[in-house]
Amino acid sequence: MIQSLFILSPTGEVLIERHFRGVVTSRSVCDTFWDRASESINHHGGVSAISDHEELYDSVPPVMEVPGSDQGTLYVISCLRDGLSYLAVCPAEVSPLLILEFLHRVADIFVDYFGFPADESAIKDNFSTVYQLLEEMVDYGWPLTTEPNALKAMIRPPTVMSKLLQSTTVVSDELPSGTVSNMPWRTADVSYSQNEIYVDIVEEVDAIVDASGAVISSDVSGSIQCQCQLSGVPDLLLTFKDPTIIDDWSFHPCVRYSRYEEDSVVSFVPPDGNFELMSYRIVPEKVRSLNPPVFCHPKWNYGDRSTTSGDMRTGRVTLHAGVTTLSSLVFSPSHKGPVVVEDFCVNIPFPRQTRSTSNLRVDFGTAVYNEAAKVLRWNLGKMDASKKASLTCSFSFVSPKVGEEEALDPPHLSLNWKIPLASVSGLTVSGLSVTRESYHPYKGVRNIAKSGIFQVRCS
Amino acid sequence: MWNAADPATVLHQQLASALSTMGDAQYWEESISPATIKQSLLEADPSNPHHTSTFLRAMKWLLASISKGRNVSEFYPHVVKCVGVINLEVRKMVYMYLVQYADYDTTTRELSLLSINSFQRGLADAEQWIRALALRVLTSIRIPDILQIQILGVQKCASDRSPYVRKCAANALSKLAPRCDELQFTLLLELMQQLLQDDSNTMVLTSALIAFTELCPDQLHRLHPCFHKICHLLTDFDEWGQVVTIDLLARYCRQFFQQPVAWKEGTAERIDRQRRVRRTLITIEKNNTGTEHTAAAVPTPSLAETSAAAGVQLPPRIPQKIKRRVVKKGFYSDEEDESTEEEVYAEDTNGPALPISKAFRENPVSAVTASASPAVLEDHEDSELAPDHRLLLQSALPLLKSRNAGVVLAVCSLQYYCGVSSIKVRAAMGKALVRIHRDRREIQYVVLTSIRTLAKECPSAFAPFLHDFLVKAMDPPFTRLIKLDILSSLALEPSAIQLVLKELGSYVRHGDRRFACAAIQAVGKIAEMARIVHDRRDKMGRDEANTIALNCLHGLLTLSQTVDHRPALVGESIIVMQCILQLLRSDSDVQPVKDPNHVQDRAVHRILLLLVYTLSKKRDEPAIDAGSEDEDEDADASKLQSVGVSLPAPAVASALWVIGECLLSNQKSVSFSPIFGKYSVEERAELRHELLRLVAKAFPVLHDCEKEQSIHFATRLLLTESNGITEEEKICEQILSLGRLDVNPDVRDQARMFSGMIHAGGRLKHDLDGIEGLPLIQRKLEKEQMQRMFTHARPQVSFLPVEGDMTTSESGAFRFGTLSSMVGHKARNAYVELPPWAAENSPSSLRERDPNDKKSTTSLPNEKLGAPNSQFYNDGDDSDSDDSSSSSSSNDDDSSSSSSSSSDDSSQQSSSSVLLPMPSGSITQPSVQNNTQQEKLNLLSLNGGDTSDDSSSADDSSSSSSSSSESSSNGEQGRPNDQFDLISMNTGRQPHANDLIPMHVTGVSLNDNYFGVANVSLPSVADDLKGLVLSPPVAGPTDQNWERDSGAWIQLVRPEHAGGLSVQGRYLRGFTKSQQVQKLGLTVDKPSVVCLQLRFENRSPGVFRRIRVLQRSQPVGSSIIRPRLFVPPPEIDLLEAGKQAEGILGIDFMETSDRDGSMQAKVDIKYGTGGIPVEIKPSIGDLLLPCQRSVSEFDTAMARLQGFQRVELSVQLDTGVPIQDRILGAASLTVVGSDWSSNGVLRFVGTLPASGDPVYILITTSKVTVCCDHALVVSNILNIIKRALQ
Repeated sequence: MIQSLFILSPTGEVLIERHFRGVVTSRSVCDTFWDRASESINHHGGVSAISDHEELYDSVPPVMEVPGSDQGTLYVISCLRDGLSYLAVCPAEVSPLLILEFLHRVADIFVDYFGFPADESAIKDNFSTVYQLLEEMVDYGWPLTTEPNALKAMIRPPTVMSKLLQSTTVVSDELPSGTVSNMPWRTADVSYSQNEIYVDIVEEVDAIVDASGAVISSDVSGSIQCQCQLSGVPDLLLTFKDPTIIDDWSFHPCVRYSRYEEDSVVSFVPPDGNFELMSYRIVPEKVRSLNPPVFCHPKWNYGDRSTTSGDMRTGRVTLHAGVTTLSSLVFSPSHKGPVVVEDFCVNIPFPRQTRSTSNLRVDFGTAVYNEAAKVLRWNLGKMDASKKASLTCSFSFVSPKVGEEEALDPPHLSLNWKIPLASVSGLTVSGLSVTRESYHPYKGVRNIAKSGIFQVRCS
Repeated sequence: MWNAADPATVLHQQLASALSTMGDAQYWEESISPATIKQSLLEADPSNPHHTSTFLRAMKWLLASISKGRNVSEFYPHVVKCVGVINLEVRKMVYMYLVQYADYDTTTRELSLLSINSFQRGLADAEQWIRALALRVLTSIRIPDILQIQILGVQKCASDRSPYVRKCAANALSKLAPRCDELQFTLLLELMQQLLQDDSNTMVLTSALIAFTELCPDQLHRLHPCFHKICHLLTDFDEWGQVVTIDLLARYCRQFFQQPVAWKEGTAERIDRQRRVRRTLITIEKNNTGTEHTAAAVPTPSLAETSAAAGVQLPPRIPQKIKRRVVKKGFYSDEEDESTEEEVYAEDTNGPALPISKAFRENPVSAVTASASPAVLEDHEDSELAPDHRLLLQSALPLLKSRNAGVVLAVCSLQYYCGVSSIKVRAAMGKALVRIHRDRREIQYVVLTSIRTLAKECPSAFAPFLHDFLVKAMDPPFTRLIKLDILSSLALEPSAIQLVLKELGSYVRHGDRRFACAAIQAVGKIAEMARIVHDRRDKMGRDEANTIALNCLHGLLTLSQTVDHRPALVGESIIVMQCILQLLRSDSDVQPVKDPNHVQDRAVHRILLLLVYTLSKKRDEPAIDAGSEDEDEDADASKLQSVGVSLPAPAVASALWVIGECLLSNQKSVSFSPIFGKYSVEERAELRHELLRLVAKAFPVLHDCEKEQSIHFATRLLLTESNGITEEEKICEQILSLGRLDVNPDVRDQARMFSGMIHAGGRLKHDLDGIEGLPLIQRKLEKEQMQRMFTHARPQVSFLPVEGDMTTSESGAFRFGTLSSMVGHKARNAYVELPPWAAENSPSSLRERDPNDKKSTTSLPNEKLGAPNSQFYNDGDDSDSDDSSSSSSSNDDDSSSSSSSSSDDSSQQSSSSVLLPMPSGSITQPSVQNNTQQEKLNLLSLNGGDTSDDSSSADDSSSSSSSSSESSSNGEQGRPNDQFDLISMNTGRQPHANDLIPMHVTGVSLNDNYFGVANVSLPSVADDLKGLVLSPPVAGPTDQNWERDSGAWIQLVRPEHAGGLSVQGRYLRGFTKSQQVQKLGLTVDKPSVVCLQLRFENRSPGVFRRIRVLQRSQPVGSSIIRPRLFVPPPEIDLLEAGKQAEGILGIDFMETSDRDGSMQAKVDIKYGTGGIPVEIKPSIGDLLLPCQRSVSEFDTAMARLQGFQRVELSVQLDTGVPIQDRILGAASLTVVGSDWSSNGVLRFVGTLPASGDPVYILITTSKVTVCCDHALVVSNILNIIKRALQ
């Protein structure tokens, strides 16, 4: 159970404070947390260095013991989202995952309400809604209503009009009926003039590739994202062409588990709006034989080791990147022409000892070095197999002193890319039928393959 | 993304950007002064809707101030008066503020009392959300004075018809509990128990179970009656409730079921037992080589836990000699073609790393396990479980597929601690955990911690996913270390060992020192494990293992040379090198290690070099003997300049031991003899001498562990070397005497003990200072004895866990995934340990709901409560919800069980006889809140005749007494059941008590009869009163008679269509309908409300699970009238073959109509995984409303209606036929007069639902006449009559 919930800004300021169990937790807990967190603010300064994931601080464990002033030991369970630290202060034994999942759910709801990213300014701008949401989501420290559809029925997302007319209330006057039904996730009485549902099968490739391009490990995780605008209470049935590709799966609560176990079909009454229908992992054979569609060969040269340690040295990095023709992706029948990789981007984090870079040259795309974060971002944009790109850059750095235990971190590049209409596993939808409702909705299904955590080791 | 071009969206965006300054952010600025706010709060009028924006502004400012950490309690008086503000948003903010400051000081506490009234009004609001909100806020205010009011509110809401309100009531239980005294707490417990037992809404149950964990986590026996229900509904709980419930059930399981054999002896467990690498195995081996244990100091790298290798080359590929045996059934039961896998494996042994791992993933079962034939038990492993135990495990298993990591982990915990260790379950657990570990980094951390624990116990489940645990660049430090641990525990196959070592090769240079050191330790661990793994495979495996160890050694050697600017890493590698050297040496006498490249020699050289350098640096005056180094260290001297790194203390200790071992080893002991083979004896002596000198010189500045090692070194030297080394003896004795005077007691003790022993052997000759003071050993020790003591081969330092010291076994350790396991101590003592397994399974009858049992458990505390609080407890005490049945009488066939139960308890009976006269007497109600009670009592007296002494109603009185005994004995306030019974008794129309309970679950046992047989349930007093007061008191019969008040049964679902499930329904009328409708929470006496009694019958040989009635959506706008409200009967968990169950379905249609068949409700009757659509279409006959006419009125009215309004039909009827029953079965009519048998005339009357026109029906033996103002209906009614008569 959560005794108190705090949301801290990227500078450690308390943005939101809420106590659920009648006990007012002293803010010194936040201070203790922040002291420890700020010790480990990483050298990339909070700028996403290697991925889209935010990394403000590094080594603060999500479960932390904090001596409470007068209440004995408290446990702070924290998570970091969009630069904000969400702290749940728990007084006693509780499943840490329950709390963590809940904190992330809270953050998800904020994104749902205020748009992405739900960062400091979004929270400040909507703090009264935030408080109201928390009020509905937690009762005496236990999660109460967490389904977005049910929440939206109770508290309307802020709109332009509500901001314009300060008097307009965001609390819905009509109270929801959905929560009492058997389907807490769906708002009742939805009506659209145009009924449509879009299904995206997104497969993310996680991989570790060594400097020579050999795949050390790879993993594919798929998810099915839906955007659903259907009137009434439709019952949907999604079937796959080859469900045996799926090895392990998890579902949104709206899916009837047993139907999938029996017939490998996904039968569900969808929530209204955007949601993740299921996530899955594909059978290992498919993963292990993965041939990534892009390559990037780095070469780091740290210059000569100077005899007198501790002074400046100059190193040089050279990258060759491109699209391979040999990728093992499966393309949709509608896909024509050569393989085009979109949003191709290479992130090159420099060692923390780096002082400056010079002679940055690229023959394709654009590269920008972020001085504060010590990250070079090479944006290649759209690329196909006919092009090859290279980048060179010199950098000067302070050579670590002997005995300092400060090694040059071997940098790991991270690659971002996206290929529409492609799939790693070849999973395709063979049918999506709507029953219970008489209309014929517009249905759109597409595959997307993209990078998850795709990194190139340089050592 | 799909409608970007939508002009409205564009406009919206533009507006949004223009108005971004209008957001709440302004309240964070200091632009508004508190005085302004106070002023505006003073001036604004809460009841004026135009002032809403003022309030909004003020409240937002206050909330922002709270966020900024400012104390704004001074506003309390102003805010408290806004509690009744019309606008809901403002009100919510006011509530938040109030809760925050209500308990702040005395003033606020007093002021808070002003707001209570408003909440109480809220509790009575028609809208469920308002009621819930009011309850939540009311119970959150922590003022002692209002505790009673709060408890009352909870009681009331616990029987609310809205499940959401009941849910909030359940939550409120734990809010109030900490402030309650013992009596009040008992009441809360009882409320909780009632919610648990009688409610079947998952929302409510979830919260009730959470309340359980807060109120009485230890009283698991309270879960007995609802155990089945929870298991069946578990998948429908919300995610948060599932986590809590599963944990609770795990403890329940331990406490009430015995340990299944397959828990520790399952197939997976047996495989794992053979695969796990533990230290005892080494000891057994070493026993062969004659290991002894002594107190002598083995260099224990205390930091060491694991180890690792830099630039480790892959071991040269050795052709697979032994063909891998394939287990019949792989760890993954979905494996299909083992033979091909075997081929793949065979090829892959010489292939690149990737395919090897592939084979590993697919065929992880070690060859050793082939003999275990795990397939045999596989499918039947859970057969020995108690049925309820199995039910629990099976109902939780599907939740492994939940999207919520918390749920998945909870299920894993349940299966691990309470389930069977079958391959199927373990494999599913592994898969699921690996799936959820790919989540956000915080979740990943918790999941990985759990996996680490599990991977040590059941490595097979995770072995296929080795690749998933490779450390990625963005893994935060806490995750990295855990992954490393997991990786090293999973290296149980040659291919896995290769993969892990290769990975470690890149980790050992990691920038994070702790991680790099841990990786180095992991190398040592792997080298050790490799030996065991290969030994298990075959006898020839030892060479392979030694090659791996040598490669590790080489890798570490290289590392120690390349990272020489990082002393910690070098030190760590020295420690691990020492371990590997010892490992290699451990049985070199049996089977010499093939070391063609002299890796061991080079390693020892390196260690020596580093040791000498470090020691020389440590001298007090480093400059003094600069020359001597060159002189002594001949070949290595020049290199010393470039060593450049001083070892940390533990590494020095380690190095000293290894070098000591090399230099001192003489002739017979197993030793490093080959290593220093190239040195002559003289050279060795010289090295020894120099080292000794360095140690002695540096001794004062050495670290404690180095000192201990130095003393040990000196002692051994004294013992082993023979004469002619006087110089060295002197130095040794000096070291010992320095040790004897050390500040550290450990060092001192060691030095004294060793000195004493050597002295006893007479070998201490020179430096005898202080020796005399030592407790001397009297016996003379022989040199051989002492040598044995100090120089025998030692058991190697091991990184492996010790068998038996299972950290995950229950004793002492916390369950994985708990907060306590993460922080390593009991979190605020709230961690509840898993109880030990029960000695034997508890009887399953405990979990069957036994009426008497329930009574006995609940009535007791109730009586205890008794008088003092009666004014609060009496109403709403019995919080049965609408859909619940709970009466003790529901199962009893032959007589009213109420009466039988009452006879159990004669004292109750006597109390009831005292009570009975009460209705006619005057009662002073103790509290204003009970004024409704007064009305009820008046009503009773209005109805009542002289009842108290009426012997004919003995049954009734006893039944009433029983119901009072069932609840509390303070029957004067009137248990709801009392009231019913009293009324029926008073009207005097109900001859037999057992007719009161005509409906029940027939066929004895549904496991849970919480499935509603609503007529016997005890509605809350509030509802009860409503019905009594509102319904016309004398219009009709005021008792429940199901047979009288219902139509004929209609077959809704034919058994042949639904696999044997037959569903029948009949429409209820009259008083019974009113009662039922009221219990369902629908409006009583509304013509559009239809109430249907459903009877489910299982005519198939199997069972039906989860039978439920769901509403289907119906299109708007057609001519069909849709339902407005739909109240389905509660779900039936289980319907066994041949059994029946019943439930009440209530439908409130949008409107009524006089047209036949225009009202329709489409429903799905679902069972298990199947379902069948049904249309509920009440005919006009069923919809007719009762009305009262005298015979003369009837005749007059009928005579008036002619023409279109009258239809006649000629029939031939016999007076012997029960015409009346038939007609009443077909249509909801009221009989007027009754002279069928005498005159052959029957008169019926009814009112049309929509228009209210009366319908008159006259039946004689030859003719049926139907008259009504509404011409269209007439023929419809006639048809109905016609059908009924045929």
